[in-house]
Formats: sequence, structure tokens, C-alpha cells
Amino acid sequence: MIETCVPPGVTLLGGEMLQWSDRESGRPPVDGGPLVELVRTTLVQGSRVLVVGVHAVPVLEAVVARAGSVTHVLRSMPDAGALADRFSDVPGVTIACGSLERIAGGPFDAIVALDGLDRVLSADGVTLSWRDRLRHLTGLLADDGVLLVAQENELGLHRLVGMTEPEAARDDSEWWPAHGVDPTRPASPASLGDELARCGLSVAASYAAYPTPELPAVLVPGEGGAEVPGETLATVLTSACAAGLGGQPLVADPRWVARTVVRGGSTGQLAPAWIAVCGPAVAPPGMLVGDGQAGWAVTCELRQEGQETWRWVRSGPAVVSADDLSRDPAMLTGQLPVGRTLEELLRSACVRADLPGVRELLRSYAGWLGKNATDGELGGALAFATADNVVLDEAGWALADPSWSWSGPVSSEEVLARSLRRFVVGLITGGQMHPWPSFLGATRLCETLHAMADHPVSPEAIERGVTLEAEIAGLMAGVPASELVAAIREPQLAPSALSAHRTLVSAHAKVCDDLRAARERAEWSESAVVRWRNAADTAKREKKKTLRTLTKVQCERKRLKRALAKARGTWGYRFGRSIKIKKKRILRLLKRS
Amino acid sequence: MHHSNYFYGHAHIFARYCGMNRRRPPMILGSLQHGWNHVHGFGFMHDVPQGHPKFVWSEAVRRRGWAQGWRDYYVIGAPWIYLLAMRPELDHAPERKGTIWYPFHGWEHNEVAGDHHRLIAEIKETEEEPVTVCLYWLEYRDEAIRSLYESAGFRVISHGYRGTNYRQVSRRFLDRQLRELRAHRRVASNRISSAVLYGTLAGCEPAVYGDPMVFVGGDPRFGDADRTQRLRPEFCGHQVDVPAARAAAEEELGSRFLASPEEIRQLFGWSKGGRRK
Repeated sequence: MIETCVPPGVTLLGGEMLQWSDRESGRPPVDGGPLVELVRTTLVQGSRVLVVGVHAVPVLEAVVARAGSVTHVLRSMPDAGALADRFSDVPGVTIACGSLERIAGGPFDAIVALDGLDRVLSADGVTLSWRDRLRHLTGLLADDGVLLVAQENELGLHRLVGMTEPEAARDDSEWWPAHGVDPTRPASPASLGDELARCGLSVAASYAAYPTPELPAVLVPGEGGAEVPGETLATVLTSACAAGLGGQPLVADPRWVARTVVRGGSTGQLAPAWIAVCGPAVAPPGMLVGDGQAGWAVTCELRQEGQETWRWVRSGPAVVSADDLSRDPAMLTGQLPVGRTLEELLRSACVRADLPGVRELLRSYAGWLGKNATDGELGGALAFATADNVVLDEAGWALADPSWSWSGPVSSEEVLARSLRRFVVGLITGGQMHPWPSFLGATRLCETLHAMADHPVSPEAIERGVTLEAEIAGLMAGVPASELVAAIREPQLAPSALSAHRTLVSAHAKVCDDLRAARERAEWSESAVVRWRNAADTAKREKKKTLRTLTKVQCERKRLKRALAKARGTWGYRFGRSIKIKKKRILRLLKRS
Repeated sequence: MHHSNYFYGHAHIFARYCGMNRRRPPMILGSLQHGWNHVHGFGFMHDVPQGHPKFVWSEAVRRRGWAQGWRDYYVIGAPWIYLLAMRPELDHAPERKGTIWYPFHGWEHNEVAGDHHRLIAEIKETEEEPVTVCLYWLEYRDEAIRSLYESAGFRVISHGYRGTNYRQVSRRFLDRQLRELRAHRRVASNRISSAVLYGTLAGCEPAVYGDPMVFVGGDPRFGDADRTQRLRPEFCGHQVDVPAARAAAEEELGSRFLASPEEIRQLFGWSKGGRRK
């Protein structure tokens, strides 16, 4: 229930929205390990900081940890009340409620606006253009202050694959639609820099944020001109998009669109959001990548050094574990393998029906697993050597993320079964083209892939692969494994986890194709039955005819026998027979003589 | 599934390859391409069971079929490559001599019309002795045609019956053909055909020349008589570039698509219970 009385600890500025909550509006507060790292790296210790917009508690905690004092202004009274309660015991934190144009005071040493400038004006306030909002905000900044500001890209990847038209939005937050009506709103990283320059600020660093403005898991430095190799960037962005885009309905699978965006060199132009860091003394981090949920979350930094890509852990737990699953973020520090994942390579081969290519990849991969096994068992991290986590670089196969580990005994056969099962589930639920007969279900397809890898598999091993995948996925997501088993065993019967419209269209096309094949098989079988029945009828008729003929022959034979018997009794037969016998005797005598 | 799977003992070869009952192969859940084909893998009179997989020899066949609306193709290569995998050529094989010649042949529903005399004259002019002429069982049974080649001084043979409706199936048809091909230095014909491709992979020098003859009442959807030569000029001429011809034969017979026995068992729907002990 939203309360209307003034919450304790909240300073009122004017323009408070009494019944409105940004946190409960459907669009989440901005959050994520990369944002936390950005704050930690760029804010000067002990500075006086202003925060505007809707930020999640971990980001605010990072600000509070660096700042000497924090003033956080929100337009929502309920949200301000909740945060005032959260930070009531933290000295130096002021929670204020009101509209942007009511903020006075300053100058602030740093301003954090990582939520952008779209959730800073209240329904009470004047309708400032984006440029005016920025000008008001930067007017509160000290001359050598630091500004962290984000800006959503209206042509970002999340818009390209999203199902809803922003201009058609009808929910409560659209009392003043910000999309497409403000010509001062930056439409590119360059125009964002221009607007900041108008305010007397120069951009020390900029980032392209993926996969969504609210929950960026990857911050790519520069205007999308990432230092890291394109394949590495594509793999990182694909992985970041794997769980969808914050649950919004989609028309396409963002993973493969993201890969195409990188390949086309448009990482910056099509980023869901841009983040600009301004300040003379700022030493911004390189590429920041966050992954994992809740207690498993880790943030790393990637940098290119010459021909090599290196990764460091910036934040995360020491070692976290649950049952047999554990994660040691320290394993992420080191050189990153550069190349395409096995999943990407297999998908490409499947679309081209390149069966020799699929065989070669699977045999190479299975051989690599076997070589790393000791007495048939694989070590903890290699239990996670699945198709989406192994990369083919110049030296061969390598784990992309070696931080996960499984302490239970795992055979290389089980790992292969789990890996191929994951791949097959993605192939079937995505409705992607592949060369195998449509009547092969998930299990038969897994068996066929095992055969192509020259590692024929038993049904027991197939089942162990299913249970291992369910156990691991369940522990990572915090759900019981039993809830996931059915979807893993028979993915064609379970809805796609991504629920992208285009994926549904593809899956529908596949179902139509399966039905077509089933109908054709039924029609051919029916016509075959008719043919065989006709042949049987013909054979039956022929048999009857033959039997009739045989009967006639037998009757005729009997008749002839009777006639012969009768003839033998006649005088003429006896006389002729006696003449014949006498003739034979005469001839014998003549021969002897 | 379809009796054409038994043509030339193809099903038996796969059964042998997979360790199944080689005398009575299990039913294949699909249709095998039974001869080299420059359209969609099957004849136009062939009542192919749609909805079941079509196991074809090459990627080009799959693309052609797909382009005309047929689906469910799976490229496994020709049964010939599986036979060669089971019977690699031995180092102490006997010396190859002469040419084995395969005149273009008809089948039960279409005869071939052409000048056999002119063809024989060209063979005599081109080939060194000995020359073996291998006739399809229909022509071999025809006294008039067989005696033409015999009286020209050629050794005339036939590899046996193709088999129809599961009758008169020669389980060892391709084995006999392999033995003959490995005994000869060259393989030739007046049209590009399975035999020429088989012979090329079996180590013969191929050649396609002479009057291609006409298929009486043939289906115009197969194109004209010279279509195959335009498609694969590597084989055409009295003397050819043997490495180029071999590469073309490997592509047409799908050598790189050779599948393992377990994979074939999965695709054909052959259970493990049908294996030979």
C-alpha cells in the first residue's frame, strides 16, 4: 500500500509525487555490478555527491561508501521514504523528494545520474526539455566535478528486438511521454558529447551499455570501438543477452542480433544506452562485464594488451558455494581465450546443413574432453565445459569462464551428455533450421550427436546428463531441480524461456513442418496399405484361379484314369498288348542270335 | 520402407557396415538414393515416401530437392563410399589392365536408342586391349545387343540384377563391380553415370565420350542428353585431368559425408537388437 503521509527522514523540495512509485512502476531501478564498479572507480573519496533518478540499493551503497556526503533526490514520496528508512543510520546521507528543477544548493563534487534524465521531473513540475534538464543539473556541479550520466538510445538493441512500440505505451508512467518528442534529446554518442560540451563539460570516458539501460551487464568503452577483439566482444554480448532483456516481450532473439551488431561495427550506435563520464581527474575503467545472479554475481574488467585480452576480477564474493556447486571468481583473472564458442560454431554449421563440419567440431570437442579426463572423470571446472562456455582459439578449446566448479564426481561422458543436451534444447526451442530428420526428438537427437562425436552413449548416460543440467541450473537460479527436468528432457513440449515473438514464429514454422512430414508419412502409409491390399487381393484371385485350374486338371486326370482302366479291360487292348509282348521277345531273340 | 532401398544391394551394404543382419537388413526408415542423379536424387516415376528422410549422396542433390519444395533430406554419401571404407584397396592388388566400358543403359520402362556400331568403332579406336563391356541386365539379356559387343572382340559381362520389389536382389552386386573396376586401368562410358564415378573412386582413370544416345520416352524434366556433361565437364573426353575428375567424383559421391556406423543406425532407426553377434 502506498502511504501518503510524509515519511520520516525525507526532505521535501517541492513537486513530490505522493501516490507514485518509480520502483513499482514496472521499470526497475538501474543496477548491476558494472555500474557499481564505475561508481567506485570514478568518484573521489570523501566527495560531496548528488544522486538523481532511480538507482538500486547496491549502486547507492557504492556511492555512500565513496562519498563524504550524499544527497539523493527522488520524485516519488514512497520511494524516498523507503530509502530514508534504509539509510537512516548512515551519516551524511540526505534523502530528498521533489522535481529536478527544485534542486538547489551545490556545488557538488560529483553528480550521479546513471538512470538518465527521464525519471527526474514530477507530474507537478514544468516540462523541461532534455537539454534544459542537463543544464540545470550541470549547473549544480563544481568546476572540477565528476558527472556520471546515462542516456537511453531510442534506436538501441532493446528497442529493435522489443515487441512494444514506445509511442504506443499506455501505462501510468507515460503521463509525459519522453520518446520521440524532444529534439534536444541526444540520438548518438557524439550528440551526447556535444550536449555535454555545451554545458562546459568534456567527456573523459564513454561507454555503450548492454543489454538494457536499467540492468547493464556489459559496459563497452569508447563509442563502441571496443579494444577487445570483435569475437570476444560478440561472445560477451551474446552471453549477456542469453537470459532475455529484463523479461520484456521480444520479437527476436537478442543474442544473434547482438552478434550481428558487433560484426557490423555498430556496437556504439545500437547500444541500449550510453554512459558518459566527465571530469578532469577521472581514471575510468576499461570494459566492465558482470554476470551471475544474486550471490553468484561477479564483475570483471577486460583490457587489451597488444594481441592478448586480459581479465581481472573487480568485485565479487571470495568463493561461494551451494551443495556441489561453487564459484571461485579468482579463476577469472588471467588471459581470455579469443574465438567463437562451440555453440555459435555448431549453430552456423546447422544452418548450412554442414554435416562434415558438425562432425569435425563434435569430434574435436569430445576428444578434448577425453584428453582432460583422468580415469574418465573430469575436474570441477571442466564439468562446465558446455558448448556455450568453451571457445575455439588458436591453441584449441578453452573454457571461457573457468570460475564455476562441481565438486561431485562427474565423468566426461556425463559432461558431454549435459553439453549436448543444452545445445539441443536451445536448437529445438529456438526453432532454428537444422539438418536432422524432424521425427528425432531431443533424446534421439542427442544420441545422434553423440554418434557424430564418435562417442556413442547409453540411455543411462543421457539421463545423467539431464539430471546434471537440472541440478546445476536449479542451484544457479535458486529453484528446485525437479521444476526444470521436464523442460530439459522434452523441450519441444515446454515453452521457450526467451518468449521472443520471432522465436515463437520459428517454432511455429517448425511445428508446421513436423505436421507436414507426419501427414505425408501417413498418406504414404495409407497408399502403401492400399497397394499391398490390392496386391493381396490379386494374389488371392490368382490363387483361386490356380486352384480351379488344378481341380480341373485333377478331375481330368481321374477321368483319364477311369478311361484307361476301362480300356485295359477291352479285347482290343489285351490283343494289342499280347502282340507287343511277343514283338519284344522276338526282338530279344534276334539280338541274341 | 521402399523396395528401391534394396537396389544393387545398397541396404545390405549398410547392414554390413553397421554390424546388422547382412542377409535380411532391417527396414530403413527412409529412402536411399540409388543412383547418380542430376536432379533431386530420385527418378520422376519414383514414388518417394514423403515425410520420411531422403538419404542422398551429395549436398547438390539436397539443394536441388529443397529448391523444388522437397524436404527431409539428409546427406550421407553413396553406399559406394561405405563399401570402399570396408574394403580398402590392398597394396598387393593385381595389376590393372585395359578398360571397362559401360554403355548407357535403359531400364524396365525406357529403352535406349542409338548407334551401337558407331560406338563400338570409337571404343576400338580409343581404348587399348583388353576391353571389357559391362551391360545392364536388360541389354545383357538382349541377344542382339550382347552379340554386337561380343563379335567386336570385347569381353562382355554384367554385374547382375538390380532387384525389383525385393526380388532378384544381388547382395554382392557392388562387390562384383568393385572387383572388376579394380582389375581395370580405365573406366569409360558414353554418359556420366554411377559406374564412372564409382570407377574413379576405385582408382580408374575415367573417360566419357561417344554418342550419348537417347532415352526413348524419357522425362523432359531430366533435361537434354548433354546436361550432365555441362554439369561435370571434368569427366568428358578421351583423356581427362584425373585429379580434377577424382575431386568431382568425391563431391558427387559425398565422400566427406561418410557417417559412423552408430550414426547410420540412429538415422535409419535401426535398434541395437538387430545386430549380428
